[in-house]
Amino acid sequence: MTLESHRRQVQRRQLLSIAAAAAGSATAASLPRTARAQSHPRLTHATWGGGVGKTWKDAFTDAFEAQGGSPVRIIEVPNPEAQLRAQAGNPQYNTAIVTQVQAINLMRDGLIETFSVDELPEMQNVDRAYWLTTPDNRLAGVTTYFVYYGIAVNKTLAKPADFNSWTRLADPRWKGKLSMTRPIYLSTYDLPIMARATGGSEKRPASGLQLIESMARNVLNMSTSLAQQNTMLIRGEIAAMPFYSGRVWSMRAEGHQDVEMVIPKEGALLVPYIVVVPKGVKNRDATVRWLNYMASAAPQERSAANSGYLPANRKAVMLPAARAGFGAESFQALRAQLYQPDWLYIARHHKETVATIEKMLAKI
Amino acid sequence: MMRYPRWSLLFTLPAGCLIGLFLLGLGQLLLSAFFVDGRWDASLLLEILARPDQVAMLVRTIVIALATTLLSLLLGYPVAYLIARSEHHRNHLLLLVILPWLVSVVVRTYGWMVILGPKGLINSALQWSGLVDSPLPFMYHGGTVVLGLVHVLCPFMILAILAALLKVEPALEEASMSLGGRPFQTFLRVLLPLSLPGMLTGVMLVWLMSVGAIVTPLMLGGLKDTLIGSEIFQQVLHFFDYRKAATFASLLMVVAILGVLPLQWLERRLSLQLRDA
Repeated sequence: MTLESHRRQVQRRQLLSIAAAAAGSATAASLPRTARAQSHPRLTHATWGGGVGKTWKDAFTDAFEAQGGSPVRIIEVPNPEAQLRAQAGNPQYNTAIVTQVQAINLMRDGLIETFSVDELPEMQNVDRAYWLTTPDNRLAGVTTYFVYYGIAVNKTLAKPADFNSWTRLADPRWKGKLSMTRPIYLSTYDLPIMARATGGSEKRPASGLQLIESMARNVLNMSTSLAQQNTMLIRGEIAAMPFYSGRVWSMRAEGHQDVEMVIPKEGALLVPYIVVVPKGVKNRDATVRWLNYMASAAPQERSAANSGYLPANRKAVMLPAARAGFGAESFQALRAQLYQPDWLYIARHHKETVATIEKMLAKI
Repeated sequence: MMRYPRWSLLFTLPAGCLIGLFLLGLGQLLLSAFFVDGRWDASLLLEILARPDQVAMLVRTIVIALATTLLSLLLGYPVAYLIARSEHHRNHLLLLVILPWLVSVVVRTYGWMVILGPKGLINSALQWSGLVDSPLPFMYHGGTVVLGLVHVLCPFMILAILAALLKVEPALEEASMSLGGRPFQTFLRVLLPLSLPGMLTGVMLVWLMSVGAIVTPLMLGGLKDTLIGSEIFQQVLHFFDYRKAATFASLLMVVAILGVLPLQWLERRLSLQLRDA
């Protein structure tokens, strides 16, 4: 062996040993990462667009991951319920936020997972009145927060006091200066609270229907999207319309202080949002940990402060900075002004109520 | 007669697939609408036809589509003629017609709200000048829906008529004039018959697109301006009632076909007449 060939052999051995060491250390480093990926798989959460995704990121997902939870990717979609239905049998999301009526319909059609109360201990801090359960008392989702459905007023055209009662929407003084939503939402939100305000309820809706009919005679248009409703309120094209507190909070946060939310003297409607899990979800254990986190007080307090959502968890406290925005001293004080209808009844009679409203409006 | 090799039939494969898929979709639509558990069931159709508000919606859809088609034809023909006879600026004018297609239909429809809304340009100007005290109701009725649809669909009419007009030799008009024909007579006896196939194509396109319109009627319509397209949208995306949506879609298809069939017959007849002439 020549000196030259010996040197080459040594160099090759060195190279091989370096490569082996590098490979070994890379494998060693990747082992905990692989283990973490298995115990903390990436989750996906479907929300509506229009800023809801940002609320979830700021209040829920970032902190969840920072505390050692799974990374959660927020996906904004126009209609999470439609996504869950389209993906039935092959779910692409771990969780999705839907309205109470949508959650009830998904539960009825067997499209979502159910959980024992032991699996979701944080739900013990949410009043049972807000639980969505199956007939065998299993939880069909997690109630994360509420908004309320009151009257949004543009203060350049009307005073908030002008709408201190739901019945004021029928005042001919407002002809051509109001807007209202489509029958599909009129049946779910407007009718229960207007029936309640006029001495009825979602089960005895006659007086509420009458009020909707009178309001319809005053409206400029039947608005078809949240974006259109936002625009009309901000531009002052309408003086008022029944609307969601969360949207008004967002408008005001964007600098549109002319728009204000009014809770009429008869109260406003409590609108719960439920996070559901599609049937056959992958990574169920990690999903359950994520559900428990979103049911806890801390992220709900943040979503209240950032976006004006009322926490479902009774341990959540109203931060002093949020009091002015809510116009109340505590969540309990605010919730006392809100009406929680029988959502199961509303969901069960949804189609026929929509048909009744459509027929009624066609005669105006 | 020219003979093609057999392998050239392969070229018809993409078109065949497309037609096959279309027919499959159509079959599926009719099956979902009228067959329940393998049995014929038209109960939903009867239910729809028994509701006066839904019959009114069907009639409204037809009336709005007819008005849109007619207005598009009346507005589109002169524009197409102008483009056809502007040799130097034809491309620029054509670009102006096509340009709105680069903007989403939602944005274009919102544009009308900015112009015609209670706080829109026109109402603001009228109020500022003291001509009116409160905003005039330009928006949210059937008229605005027609206006919005004409705005969106008129380019289709223009392009269809333009294609026909470009084939008409300007010399024919000159010949008519030199033989003593007045401009209106020349239009009626020379230009109109020769451009009729293009007009019919445009009418068919605009009619078909306006009977199924969703976005514009939703955004510009008033309390009672729901059209069938919007109802299908609601049944699919809010109620997930695909059977009802399919029944409405079948009804819409019948309405659309009833409008198109006589036009196609007329077009074929005209083509034969023009060929013989």
